Amino acid sequence: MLLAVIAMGMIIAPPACAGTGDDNDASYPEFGVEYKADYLVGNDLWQGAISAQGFRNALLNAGWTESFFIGDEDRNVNRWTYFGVDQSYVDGTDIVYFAGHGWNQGILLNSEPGKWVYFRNCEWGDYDAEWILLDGCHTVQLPSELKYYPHYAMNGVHLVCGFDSVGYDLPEDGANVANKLVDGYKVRLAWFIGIDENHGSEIRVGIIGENADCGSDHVWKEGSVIADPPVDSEIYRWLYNCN
Amino acid sequence: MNAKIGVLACIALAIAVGCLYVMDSDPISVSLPRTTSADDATYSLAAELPQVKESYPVYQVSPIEITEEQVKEIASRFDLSGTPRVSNKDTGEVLVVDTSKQPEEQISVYAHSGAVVYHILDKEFPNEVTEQPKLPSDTEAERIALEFLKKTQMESPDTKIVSVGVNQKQEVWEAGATEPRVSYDVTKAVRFGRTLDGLPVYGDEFAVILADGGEAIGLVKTLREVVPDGSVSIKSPEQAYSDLLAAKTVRPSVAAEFDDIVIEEVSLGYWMEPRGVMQEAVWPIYVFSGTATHNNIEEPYIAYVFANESAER
Repeated sequence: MLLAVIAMGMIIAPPACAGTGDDNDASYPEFGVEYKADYLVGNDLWQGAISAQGFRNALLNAGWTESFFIGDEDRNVNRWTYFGVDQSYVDGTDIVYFAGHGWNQGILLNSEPGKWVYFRNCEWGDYDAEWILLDGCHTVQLPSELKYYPHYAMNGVHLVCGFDSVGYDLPEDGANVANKLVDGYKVRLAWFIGIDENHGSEIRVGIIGENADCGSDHVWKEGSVIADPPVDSEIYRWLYNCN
Repeated sequence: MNAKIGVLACIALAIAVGCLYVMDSDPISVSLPRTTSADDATYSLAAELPQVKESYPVYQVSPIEITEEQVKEIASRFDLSGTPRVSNKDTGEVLVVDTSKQPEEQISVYAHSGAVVYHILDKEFPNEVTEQPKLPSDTEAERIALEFLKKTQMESPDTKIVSVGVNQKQEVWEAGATEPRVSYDVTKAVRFGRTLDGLPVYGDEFAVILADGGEAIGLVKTLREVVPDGSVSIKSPEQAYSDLLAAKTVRPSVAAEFDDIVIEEVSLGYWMEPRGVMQEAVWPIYVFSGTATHNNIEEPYIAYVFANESAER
């Protein structure tokens, strides 16, 4: 009977509380980068590698530690998913930048379906991640995909930044955003203003927060970071038309 | 009795595990991304191709040199003071933040283009909106924007208002929802545009941003000065459409993100680069606009193709 109660409890229990996997964020901030440029059957995004390198350089120059930098050579969805090893990669670092194809239900590490990361299979933030930047089309177009029971992609992560519309494959995006992040801008503003620098008014970017308070976050060492927010079924979205 | 409890426990556990399995294997809906490049089948042309002249003017961007004094002078027009610093050498951004103001105000001047970007960040990008801000009507917004440009000496007589619309939104969503539970329009943009030789210029970004109460809290002005520099013959509209299908576009092609793209208008214009980019020549372009669809979600589509081979990098 006890087993049954426990099992039933697992069904109705809320997702895990926000991350407690790393208590040294402020003094030892870490970043991870993954890009996909060669999609093997066409539809390639050749500027993604440059953009990813620009993001990497800016954070290294600001004294951050690199957790991982992964390009076309490895297309393992398990780094992103709850059933994989996300605690050692995407959810094992403070901020993640991804450049590659996306759509409103996930991101693509390659063209075949086995290499697609569905948000519904992710649980970010229950270990360490605070901010995830998805430089790919339509990645925040359907917010409820990041709150899809039983696996909330927003599971303690403060912000997921992406595009509501399409976004262009531009080499400067990663550096432009990272330079704002380490120049004291809030994460939200670094994404909006950094992407805005090279995208025109036909492009709309977006950010999803666990709650509105997450919108005040700076990255570590650059200003305040809110305590990990309680995970619930509600999320907040900011939308911004580039200028 | 214990055996009965054990059996019941096992049944309950089996049901629970079954439930977990069913919930976990909820089929993901059919909205799958494309896995190949766009092709001819992606596009359909529902517009007449334009009649074109044999040649069109080319323009040269007037050289600029941004000095610290110039940045200070531009800042002073917004009643800002502070020490300019290079914020990003790759984009040529020089930033002045006036910390004496509450909230802080800032202005950036881009050495690569002469662009000016002004923000009151806390007002333009509020963390949270809990009631609908009082945004001005479109007519009122136009008046406020023109007054702001006059006050800051940022007017450009060769431009006119081309659109007024919402620039930012904030929303509250619930898990599983298909629409936001709450949605607020946070800012409005009054956008200006210009023409060269009677054709609209694309890529220029010139907008005044208005917030609660109609306050002007942001400005973007990327409007390089140009002078005529001869003329060029241009490719045919048919050739330009072929280039569009082959993804030979001014900006990276996004066609592969969509299931269908209906081109509803084909026209000519001129192309300006973003503010962080140095540009010498301004070339004519073909503009293909219409509606794109993915997973039954429609969105506006626009793509540009250089009209002259010399412009293609």
